[in-house]
Amino acid sequence: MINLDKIDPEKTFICGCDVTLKDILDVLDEGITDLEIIKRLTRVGMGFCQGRYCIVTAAQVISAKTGKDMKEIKLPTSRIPIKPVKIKVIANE
Amino acid sequence: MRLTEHPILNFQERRGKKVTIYFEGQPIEAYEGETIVMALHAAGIRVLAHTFQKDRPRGLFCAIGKCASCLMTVNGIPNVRTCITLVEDGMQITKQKAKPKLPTTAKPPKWKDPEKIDADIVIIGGGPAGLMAAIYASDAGAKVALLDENPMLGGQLVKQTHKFFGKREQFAGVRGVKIADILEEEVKKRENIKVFLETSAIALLQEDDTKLVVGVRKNKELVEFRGKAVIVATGAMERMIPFENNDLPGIYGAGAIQTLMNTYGVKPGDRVLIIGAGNVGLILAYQLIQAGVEVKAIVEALPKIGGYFVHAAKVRRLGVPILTRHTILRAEGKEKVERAIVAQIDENWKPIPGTEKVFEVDVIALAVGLRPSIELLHQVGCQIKYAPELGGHVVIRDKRLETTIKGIFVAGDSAGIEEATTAMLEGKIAGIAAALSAGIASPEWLKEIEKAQKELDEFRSGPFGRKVLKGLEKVVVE
Amino acid sequence: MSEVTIIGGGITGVALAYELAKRGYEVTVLERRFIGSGSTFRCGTGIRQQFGDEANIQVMKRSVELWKKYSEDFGFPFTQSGYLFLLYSEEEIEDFKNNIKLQNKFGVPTRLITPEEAKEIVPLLNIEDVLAASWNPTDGKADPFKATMAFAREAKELGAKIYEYTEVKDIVVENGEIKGVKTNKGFFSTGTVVNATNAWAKLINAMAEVPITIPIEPYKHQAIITQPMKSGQINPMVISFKHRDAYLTQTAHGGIVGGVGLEEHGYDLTPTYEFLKEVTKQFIQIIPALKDLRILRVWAGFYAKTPDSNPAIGRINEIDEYYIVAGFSGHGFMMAPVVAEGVADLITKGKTNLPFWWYDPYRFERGELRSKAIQMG
Ligand SMILES: Cc1cc2nc3c(=O)[nH]c(=O)nc-3n(C[C@H](O)[C@H](O)[C@H](O)COP(=O)(O)OP(=O)(O)OC[C@H]3O[C@@H](n4cnc5c(N)ncnc54)[C@H](O)[C@@H]3O)c2cc1C
Ligand SMILES: Cc1cc2nc3c(=O)[nH]c(=O)nc-3n(C[C@H](O)[C@H](O)[C@H](O)COP(=O)(O)OP(=O)(O)OC[C@H]3O[C@@H](n4cnc5c(N)ncnc54)[C@H](O)[C@@H]3O)c2cc1C
Ligand code: FES
Repeated sequence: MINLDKIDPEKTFICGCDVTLKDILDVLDEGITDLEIIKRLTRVGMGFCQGRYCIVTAAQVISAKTGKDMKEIKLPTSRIPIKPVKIKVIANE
Repeated sequence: MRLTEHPILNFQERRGKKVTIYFEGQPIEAYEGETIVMALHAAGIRVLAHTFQKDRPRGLFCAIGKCASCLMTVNGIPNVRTCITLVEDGMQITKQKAKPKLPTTAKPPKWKDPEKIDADIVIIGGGPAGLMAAIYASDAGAKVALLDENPMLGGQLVKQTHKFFGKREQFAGVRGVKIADILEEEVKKRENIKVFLETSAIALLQEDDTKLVVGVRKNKELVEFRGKAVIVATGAMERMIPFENNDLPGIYGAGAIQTLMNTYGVKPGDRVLIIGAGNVGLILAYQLIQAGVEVKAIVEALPKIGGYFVHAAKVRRLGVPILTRHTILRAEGKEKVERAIVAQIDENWKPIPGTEKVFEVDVIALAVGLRPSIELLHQVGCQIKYAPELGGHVVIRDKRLETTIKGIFVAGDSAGIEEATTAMLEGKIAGIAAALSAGIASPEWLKEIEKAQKELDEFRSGPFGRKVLKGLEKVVVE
Repeated sequence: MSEVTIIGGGITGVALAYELAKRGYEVTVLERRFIGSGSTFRCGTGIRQQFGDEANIQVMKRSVELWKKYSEDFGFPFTQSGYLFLLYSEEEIEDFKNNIKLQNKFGVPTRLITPEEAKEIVPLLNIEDVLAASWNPTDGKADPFKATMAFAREAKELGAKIYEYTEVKDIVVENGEIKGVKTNKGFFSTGTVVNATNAWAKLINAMAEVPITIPIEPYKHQAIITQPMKSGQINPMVISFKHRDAYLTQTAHGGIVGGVGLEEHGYDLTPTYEFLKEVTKQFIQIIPALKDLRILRVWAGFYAKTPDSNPAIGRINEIDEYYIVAGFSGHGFMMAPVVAEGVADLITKGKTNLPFWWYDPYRFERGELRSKAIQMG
């Protein structure tokens, strides 16, 4: 459970990459409730932590706002490389 | 600020050679063996960067290389995770102010094939689960490669200064740090275990009958590890919760605070508010007090304390109020935390107007739970299921901890949030089971598996095991 | 009862739903997962008119006009930042000279430029072995997420119904007439079906028992995205056939998106280490400075390929109101607005002014393959 009341959504961060609670709520207000799509429209989970911290928080916000059970919200698949890796490293320069 | 006196730890003795690093050109004292962010924190530097879009300050958060909150430019290389990168004499460290601009004169690099390591079993993660897996897999006859992205072995154990509960076989009464030392010694004794530190696994892949783990050592070398079986023991990561200004420097995961004070002897701050009264929050409170830090209060959203009674009693005795049915609404401060505003909540978790309290603190510790680190397992295609009792999304596995992909095993917190004691037992089971699946261990080892399974059952039969068992019911298959 | 039922909620399906709803039709879109989940959300964002045949050039010229219009009307990012083809041999130059002539004939302002001029456009380029480049500044790119969701939103506003997580399992045809479709969420009665499932098109065709052969096969294609860098460093889509059909560009957010041609037949979508290495190897030859960027993610999607790399678009005469709109290879995102406009005209008026005859679904059966459409990746 999380609390979303009495907090300013514009100053509440869901993701370290500047994605706010408001960004998520705005998309939800358009009637879009799929984490996969919210991710792509707000960029939550698409930055440097590769979603480790933010994606579940985003899922909890969706759950709290739509009443969708957490077990119904599928996490986007992790992709290689699971840590950002420099192109030079792959080339073994 | 560095801790000089501590009732349990002697940092004077543990600190390495003194070196000098440079932050924005200013010299800073550091010690070999510590990570960059620890040295910066000791020198009072908490703001490590500003975000590109909104120019928000960024500080340490997880201290285990997972959250990307500590990215800085080190010796001209941008985006270095400074919480898992060790200091070196003369290092130049600067804040990242903007997205990088690339040079127009760069030359194409020469392509080289990566180093290749062959083993029977590749183990990812050197916490209690991974270490025990390595020891038992090796004893069962397997050649083991063990990698961990932190600069030291032990995982979460290296930060636990308190004595553990449980049974004697699982080191009850021994402090976590000491357990890490013992396990490390055991690993070192075995010649068929090769340890690779500062090595991140970035991919887990299947090549016919072999498993391939692609690793990156020290941020610069690609290493390919191949084995017949893989054990994923990557531990857990801390949860975040939404509140105003929850991204301010000074808001740390509980684990990061432990790393600061218990591993590196750096004082996390002067006045702390802890969010979450589970075992982690409670233990953190008395560890902070041990280190001479004031704990203003522990805030807990549930109507009752989640952690063990003994821990709660100890914290109360030390005079720390535990506010149940409260939550944090807001952190305030310019570049870092200066105060926190909390409020009482009703049964529906809604804040009750007029109940706000202000705490003048410079650190807010988040101990609101951990979730299993399943990225590699998810990426390789293991089946995932949501089991809140185990901390969230976990992999489906059998009683020997083999996942839905043959030859890929899981153990410890990455299989479900529990304790070091259970992580060690699971590590043992997975280590032997992997050696069996690789066709190396003799069938007698089955007895050792059964023994460990029985010990696990006993351990989980207590009141705190009930929740875990409920979670396991959902994800353990025949 | 819906007049038209579109199977597939990729950009083709939702853009067509918009065009039909605008023409006053009752439309339903059925999508197996979520909107865009097929190939659309996995694409490389590129939009170009640099093709080698008259039909595709004309069609794409109209598409770019529509991209411009809809991006303004609906408010999603589309920029005309150009396509830059790097040429490394005299043969390649000859080919491109012919293409350019054709493109110019239809008003697409492509020209051949020197390596130095190319480096002015993308200062990060390694022009060491480059002999010339084909440059059209009016090509561009768009945000696939925002664009697709905008078409979906506008379609819904005009009354179209979009059902997600609704998988078509069968198509009921009686005496050559469509009655409806069976899905995991129940039966949808309809008189007209549009197969806009691209990589899955052959499966839907089989459900309707389409009596002709329309060879559309799925091929896995992978792409990468890097950490963001300062904007404006690689504005156009940069293409090099020499480097395994590589394409790459910078997104609005600053990351580099792109891929190389390393395809695999079938429905598997697992990203591979082999690709990660190959894309790295090729990209650092084209733009060496990329070596200092970090790769955030590799993913895979489908090119739905036909033998001539041109889509199959048209009415299937043997079934009363069945249309196929699929097989877009590596260029279905860019074509979506014009395809939607053309197919909406086909459905509502029985004809379109665009040279869609080029995409005639009967051409395979007749053995009249077109010249291969230019494709990268
Ligand atoms: C405050 C606190 C108090 C605790 N007190 C107790 C107690 O009293 N008794 C008890 O039994 N338990 C206690 N625990 C729990 C215990 O510490 C953990 O359950 C245990 O450490 C889990 O072990 P693990 O091996 O699964 O994971 P970890 O110890 O977390 O180790 C995982 C390791 O994997 C590495 N890793 C992760 N990802 C990668 C990657 N991609 N590549 C390479 N390496 C990677 C990490 O660097 C890490 O070293 C406590 C925990 C906390 C936070
Ligand atoms: C790596 C990569 C890079 C690319 N780069 C570019 C580029 O730069 N420019 C460009 O123009 N194109 C590019 N493409 C191609 C482009 O992505 C596709 O051509 C385009 O997205 C096709 O759109 P669509 O709507 O026709 O198909 P899709 O987006 O695939 O939509 C088809 C939909 O049908 C659904 N479906 C399937 N079966 C059923 C069923 N039984 N019931 C209900 N629904 C079903 C699927 O779930 C899917 O969502 C690229 C493709 C890839 C893979
Ligand atoms: S990654 Fe370094 S603080 Fe989290």
